[in-house]
Amino acid sequence: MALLELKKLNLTIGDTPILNDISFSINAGETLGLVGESGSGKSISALAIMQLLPKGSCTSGSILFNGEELLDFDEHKMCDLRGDDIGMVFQEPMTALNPVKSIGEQVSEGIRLHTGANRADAEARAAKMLDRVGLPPARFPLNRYPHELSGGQRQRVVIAIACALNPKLLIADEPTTALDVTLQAQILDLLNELVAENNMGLLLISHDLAVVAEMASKIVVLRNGEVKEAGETAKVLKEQNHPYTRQLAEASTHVPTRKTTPVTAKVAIEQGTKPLLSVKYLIREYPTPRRSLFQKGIPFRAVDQLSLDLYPGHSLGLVGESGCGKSTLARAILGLERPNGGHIIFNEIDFATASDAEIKRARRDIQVVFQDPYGSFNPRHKVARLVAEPLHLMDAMSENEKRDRVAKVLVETGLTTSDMDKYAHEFSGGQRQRIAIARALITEPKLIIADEPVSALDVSIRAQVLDLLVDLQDRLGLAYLFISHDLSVVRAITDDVLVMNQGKIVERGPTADVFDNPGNEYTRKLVNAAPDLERAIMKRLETI
Amino acid sequence: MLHFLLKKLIFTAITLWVASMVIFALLEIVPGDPAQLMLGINASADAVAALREQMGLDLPLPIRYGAWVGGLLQGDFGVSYTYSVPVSELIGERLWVSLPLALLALALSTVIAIPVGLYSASRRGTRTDTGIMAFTQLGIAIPNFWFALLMVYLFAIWLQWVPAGGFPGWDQGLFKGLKSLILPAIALALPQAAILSRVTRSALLDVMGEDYIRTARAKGLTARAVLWQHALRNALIPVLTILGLQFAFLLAGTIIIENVFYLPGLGRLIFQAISQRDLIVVESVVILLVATVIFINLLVDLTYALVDPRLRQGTGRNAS
Repeated sequence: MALLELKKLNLTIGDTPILNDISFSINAGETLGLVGESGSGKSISALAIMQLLPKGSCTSGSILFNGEELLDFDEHKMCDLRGDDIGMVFQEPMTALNPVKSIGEQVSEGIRLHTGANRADAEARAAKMLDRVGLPPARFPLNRYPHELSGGQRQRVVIAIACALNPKLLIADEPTTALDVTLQAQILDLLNELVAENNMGLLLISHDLAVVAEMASKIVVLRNGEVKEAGETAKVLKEQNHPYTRQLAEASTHVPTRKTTPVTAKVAIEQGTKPLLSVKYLIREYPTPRRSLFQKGIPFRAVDQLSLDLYPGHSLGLVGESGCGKSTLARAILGLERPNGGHIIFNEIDFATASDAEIKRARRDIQVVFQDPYGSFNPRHKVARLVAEPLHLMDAMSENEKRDRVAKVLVETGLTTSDMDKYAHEFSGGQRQRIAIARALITEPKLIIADEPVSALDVSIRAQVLDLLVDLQDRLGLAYLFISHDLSVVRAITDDVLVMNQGKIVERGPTADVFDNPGNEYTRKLVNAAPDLERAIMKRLETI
Repeated sequence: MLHFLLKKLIFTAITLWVASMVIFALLEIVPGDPAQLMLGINASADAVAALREQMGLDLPLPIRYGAWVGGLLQGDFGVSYTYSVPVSELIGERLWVSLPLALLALALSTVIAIPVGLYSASRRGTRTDTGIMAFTQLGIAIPNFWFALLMVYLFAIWLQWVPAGGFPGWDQGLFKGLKSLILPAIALALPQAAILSRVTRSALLDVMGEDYIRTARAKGLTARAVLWQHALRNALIPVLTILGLQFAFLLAGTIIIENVFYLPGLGRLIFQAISQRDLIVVESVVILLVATVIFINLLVDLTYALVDPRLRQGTGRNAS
């Protein structure tokens, strides 16, 4: 008998069908990967198993857990099951823990609830569990609060809560999506170990095929609330029989084709090209809280004597773990942060010594695209106004001229001129990122700083946006500083790469060379931690 | 935590000092000579001048400010121009009416508002919720003195459960004292309770949408247990903020309500002192009210830190 079996599960919220005849099963000790793009019904399937659905949901079909029909359980019986026999881990570790309760309280709460243990016993058990997930009580006492922990540590606490009572089934909904690659690898390892130790069933929900390929023996591909393909992971991903599976797999390893010859630093130096952007010994420090009343804090160096050169038409990647100073560097180049030392020279204008007018003129040629397109748009402005925003950097321009310019960049980014009079919420995530790119293009810049521009997008849309970026580079001769924690994206789109750790560049060179033969311990760690679809499938095939 | 406390205390002291200067300066600007007023319009200029000298009104401003603050620090509030008794004595008497009244009102509004907010939030979108929220809207819209008059009519005149006004004094027994304070306290408390229950409800609903609520549900806690054990404490911060602000309103509200109920409290004292140009009483009562409000807000700030561990480090942002 399967541990969990969904049979023809249907779900509607109001009158909208969300899930349509979903069937799959998980055995004890087995990991099943549930993949699909946003809106495919992955998370809602998990919530249906937990019976924690939003109001107005209506389910039919069957969810058998250990042979018992969960859809027939009343709320009281579900409460007994949740946290005891079924544990759940969520995507966002930063917000998944109650900020006003200590980690000990939060882990022991479920233990006390389900076993009736007294506080001391429950806390002892919680301490043991926290130790198991890699938070030894000596360094992480039970009275620590979530804000005193990093994202990876918080996710360990969430896992400890979910696994505290050795559940038979663990549901992990995008457990590593918010973490960078090295942390992702650690958390996935931990989940694997827990599955093996306790003979748990694991339902792993992810949008990342490579992660699922590494972790799961079985895979279910969801789209629009329907199962498109299901079976052995290696077989499904190797044969790619279903067109949608093929589309997903292709999109997640998509490499845009360049029409022009790539510019690399080596070639540029040989040809004597002057750098477009030159950062020299840049320092950016942040003050830290006073250590005591009479002692100032030691400033934290986010960017530490960093130098880089970027050439016209050059596509330069910048990778590193979160907190390494990537975004601070980008903000300093954009003039959003004042460097504490060093020089930023753009088009032979040194921002440290140039006049305000010169700097303003130079700034036109540098634009930015951020990760979250929705968050960077004012929801009350129409697209025409959003896209025209950077034009204040230009000389005065008539309304008609502005509209012409907006129309031109919208068409260039694959949108239409009629989109001008819509609001941001009327577009999908991918289209919004196109608007963000259009906004960056409107001043006809020479350099675009792209800070995680595709991290929030689904794989198929990510592929389209990458194509667009490369196409624009070919046609307009743009240079990119491409910041990302996703090595496969950086590999797909950049010519050269910088690996950053603790405010310093630890390795630089042509992207393929650096990733294939890392010369530095840190780079090697990063590359090995990054999930790779091909590698994972090969490994799975070998073990069969 | 010690650092946090010290910082708060220093800020409190500075606020008090600035407030004392503003109060003193404002009352200097206000037209009307207390000496002239005490002696009547027919008094001779010499008599007025003599009295001014006796009261110290002829001394330069900084010296008078210094003398006033110096006195305050030693607990000496000066002597009332009209009553010719020490102001501290006047205030002391009245404080025993106003402070219990304000505290009673505050306790009442909290005791009503938080359960109502919780109940409403747990039944979000139902008819009960809509009904309660309509009722609170009414509570905010009706002025408290009008409400007080209605209650006097119902409970004092018609049912004759409580006196319509006046205060017998605490020496007549606790019960009698409370009996005459209960109507004014309710009148003061209800509008505040209406605001507070709305704040509680919306703060709870905000918190109920957070990820950690889902984590708690996934642990097996019931919806009700989650509301009490996880949501309430997180929702307390906005509730405490409003509570702190309300205390100031309650103190100000006593001026009207004490007049409606003929209560010999601070509100009536300051009302009379203003009309009689008894500046020294006005100054002292106002600085006392200001100090109380500042102290309450300090208390609220400290409670924040108690509720939310993130605020205990002084800046609250250094660890995220």
